[in-house]
Amino acid sequence: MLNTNGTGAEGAMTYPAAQNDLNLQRKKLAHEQAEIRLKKFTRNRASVFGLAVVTLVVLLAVFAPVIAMHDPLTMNTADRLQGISAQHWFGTDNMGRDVFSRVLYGARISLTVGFTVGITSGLLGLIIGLYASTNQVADNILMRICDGLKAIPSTLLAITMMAVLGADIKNVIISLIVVNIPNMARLARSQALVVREQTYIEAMRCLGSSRKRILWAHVVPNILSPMIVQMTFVFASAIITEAALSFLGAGVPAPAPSWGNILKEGKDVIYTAWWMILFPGIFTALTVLGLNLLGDGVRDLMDPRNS
Amino acid sequence: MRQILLVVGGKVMQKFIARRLLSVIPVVFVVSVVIFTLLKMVPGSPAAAMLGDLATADDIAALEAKMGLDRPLVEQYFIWIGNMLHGDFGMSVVGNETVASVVFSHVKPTISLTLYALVIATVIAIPMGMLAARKKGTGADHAATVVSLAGISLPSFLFGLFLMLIFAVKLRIFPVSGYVEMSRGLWPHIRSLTLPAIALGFMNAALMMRMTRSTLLEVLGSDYIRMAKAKGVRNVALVAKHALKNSLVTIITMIGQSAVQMLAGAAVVESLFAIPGLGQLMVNSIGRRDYYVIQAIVLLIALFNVLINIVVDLLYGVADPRVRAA
Amino acid sequence: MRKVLEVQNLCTEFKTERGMLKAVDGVSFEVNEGEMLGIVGESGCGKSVTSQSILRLYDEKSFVRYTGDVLFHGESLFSLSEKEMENVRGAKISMVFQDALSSLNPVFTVGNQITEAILIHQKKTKAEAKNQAVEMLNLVGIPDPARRFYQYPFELSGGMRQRVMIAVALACRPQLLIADEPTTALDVTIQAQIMDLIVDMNKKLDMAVMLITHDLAVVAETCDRVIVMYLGQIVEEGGVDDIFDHPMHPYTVGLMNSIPKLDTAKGTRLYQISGTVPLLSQIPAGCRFAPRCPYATDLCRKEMPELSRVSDTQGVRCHYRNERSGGLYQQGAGCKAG
Repeated sequence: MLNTNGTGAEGAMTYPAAQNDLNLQRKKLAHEQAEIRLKKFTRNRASVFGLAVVTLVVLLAVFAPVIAMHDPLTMNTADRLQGISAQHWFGTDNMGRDVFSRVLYGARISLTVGFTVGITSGLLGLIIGLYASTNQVADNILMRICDGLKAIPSTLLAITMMAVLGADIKNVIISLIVVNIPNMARLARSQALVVREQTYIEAMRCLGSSRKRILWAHVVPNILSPMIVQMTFVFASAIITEAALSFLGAGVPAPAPSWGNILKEGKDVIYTAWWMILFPGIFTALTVLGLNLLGDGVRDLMDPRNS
Repeated sequence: MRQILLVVGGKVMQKFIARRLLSVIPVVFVVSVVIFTLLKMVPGSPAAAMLGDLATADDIAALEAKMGLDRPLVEQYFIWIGNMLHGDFGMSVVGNETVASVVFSHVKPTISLTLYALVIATVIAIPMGMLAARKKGTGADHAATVVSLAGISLPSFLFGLFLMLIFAVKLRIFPVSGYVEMSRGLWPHIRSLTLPAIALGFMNAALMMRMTRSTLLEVLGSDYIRMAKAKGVRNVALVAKHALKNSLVTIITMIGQSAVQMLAGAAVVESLFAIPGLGQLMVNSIGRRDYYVIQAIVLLIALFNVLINIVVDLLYGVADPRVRAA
Repeated sequence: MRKVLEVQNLCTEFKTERGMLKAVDGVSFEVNEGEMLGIVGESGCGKSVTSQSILRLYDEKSFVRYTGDVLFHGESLFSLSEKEMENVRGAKISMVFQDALSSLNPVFTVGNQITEAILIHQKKTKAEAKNQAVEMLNLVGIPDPARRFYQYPFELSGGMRQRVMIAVALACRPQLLIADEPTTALDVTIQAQIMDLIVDMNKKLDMAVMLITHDLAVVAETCDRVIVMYLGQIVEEGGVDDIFDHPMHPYTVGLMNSIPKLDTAKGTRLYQISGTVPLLSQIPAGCRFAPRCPYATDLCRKEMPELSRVSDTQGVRCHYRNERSGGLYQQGAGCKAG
């Protein structure tokens, strides 16, 4: 028989035991739920494919120094514009550099940019959106600013910012973050508002929970899943935009082996060196496809309607 | 048709339009502020850029005063807005041309390209979406899904490069680059724009096909479709009349969004295929540090975006009576 | 009396992830001219599926299979082509559904939806169709019909929308109206009005009505004959007096006993049929009601009883029908099980 302060008739012994039991049960339940989720995910072949592709690219990027047979920056004009060979799996470019190594190191650039932009714009968007959902005045101002930013198409805004800031990988990341924050903020805000409207939030307020507690303990966990899904898509679109910027000469500056740079140089010699277009192109497309499929898969997972 | 005109001219519609136009003002304001601020952040003086390396400090200071660059920022903003409303967008770095005339001379190719791409995308996407919805679960549907996924993952310039490689370099059907004006013949004009238009339109075609299919499927599962069937409506009419009209809102949104995305994507595609449109102008201006031109283009496109949104909203009102009443 | 509709051994199967599921299993009944037939049963017993099978509303190419036949005035509906079937729907047999808001197309005006039905089946000009539609709106009791003609479904109240749906269904004066739970989604007072309307139409237009519902009170008041369904089969059928005065099947008895009555002693527990309706994929062998039947025996669990007549007008699907002639409309009365 438990007294109201949680201690049993026998004294302090009962409370910790019951608490332990509860924790154990919670762990077991969490474990079960994770297993069900994993099973559901593996059944979706497309998202498994996506995960596999992304993992492969990440591994290639991480182990690039080990796998690549040449230095990506070493120029060797004697060997320029050679086709595929045993020494140069993807051929050489217009300066004699090994395209295979450049593509591998390029993966590092793309993944770094994509990941950083995804996480940062997600976090900043989350904070801005949450704040907007609590305060009417802030909401109006912040959302108008977001609308204005969104009216400028993302690639153009990125190009303009790069023109202002100068070509550098840091600036690419900053530009892309700015470009993506409005969408993230809007998402966070609208999801937060939806959660707030739920009756259980009302119930918690009646029970005396403080606003802060409700915000962090209830609103945030519930909006986290759609945010994570969106971050995956931002990752993908950041890779595309960075490649486009570099292709135009407004992104990561040469001689860095960004996929966009390789494509840019390849375009000038397209009649002779098709390998400079094909390989970075395929890598870009596959990475983006993998991320899109992964994002789709994770989103299907989170959708409570799918049982 | 008569009904559409009745709707557009009616009182409810007029109130709707008025409200919509009003809500646009803050957005336009923010856009202008953002662009103004961005350009002000550029290091170095535009006056110095315009006068070149041989200018003296006095010359530069004089030009700056003339251009109003020594006034407080807020005042500069309003002067800028005022000038634009009078049609004065400043001077381009290139030669002695006004920004307005430079931009104007580059508009036509971009419009041609974007329209062409939009037509390609819509003509492919909507019928294919309808087909995929009708034949859900069959091989045709799966094939369509695969194609659309590929489309979403291939950015326009990448696809353009691949197209160029295959059709221009290897097969030699289309020109690798270059633009032929319409006045020199309709077919050469179209031919020079085909690869770029396909590159630009493919991604959006894929997106639109996916959306059309899912919207139609959702609508076809509705109770009112069942009721229509129960009262004897023919199968064809079920999809083409009942389902389609209910999907119009989504389809209109899609086309509107695609139009804007294409305008932006045109920048890269034009550079790739050497089409002398706004996109290429933009990219070249960055290299030349021709900031007033950049400013004008971005502003133009942003305003166009806003305009498209308004038109789309208006079309919603025509398509769905529930929207009008709200 | 002539038969308007004759359903012969209808089976409807759906293709699902778990194989073919039979939602309707060997249902046979008739509807006579001008009569009101009530079909009652719990959710999931197959009454809606039966009615939609009659009009062949399901997608025959991909996920439904029909066996048996449905005769309309002696002519087989299942052997008609899709085009011929389109001529039957709305013109000879019509249907109204439960939720008028979702069953009316939101982007077309109310009047348009009625005239569409007219123009599909009858050779009329647009103006004639419009007049006929306005007349129809008037007939179903909508005030100011000429103005309402131009309104959209979301602009009308629930009761009026249901009247509109009835107007759409009756626009071409069909000979049979299938009403699938027409009042379930409405307030009680509106329910009464709509039922009055349906009964009125039944008499005025000399049109047979198949009323599907789970509301026994409505059935008692309006129907001539009743069919009771359970898990895709008919378990009892008969005239309305037969069913309500001396129900035979334990399920029907259970349903009757579940209705709270004014003269029940205070404090008496409300009667419930024990157990729940099993999933279609887990249909028991033998009599389908056996798991929940208070009188079930081993015979019941092993062998499926046939639906057979106990009088001129009443039929029951139960092994022990003969032990209970005389009626069982009391709580707790048992049968002398053999």
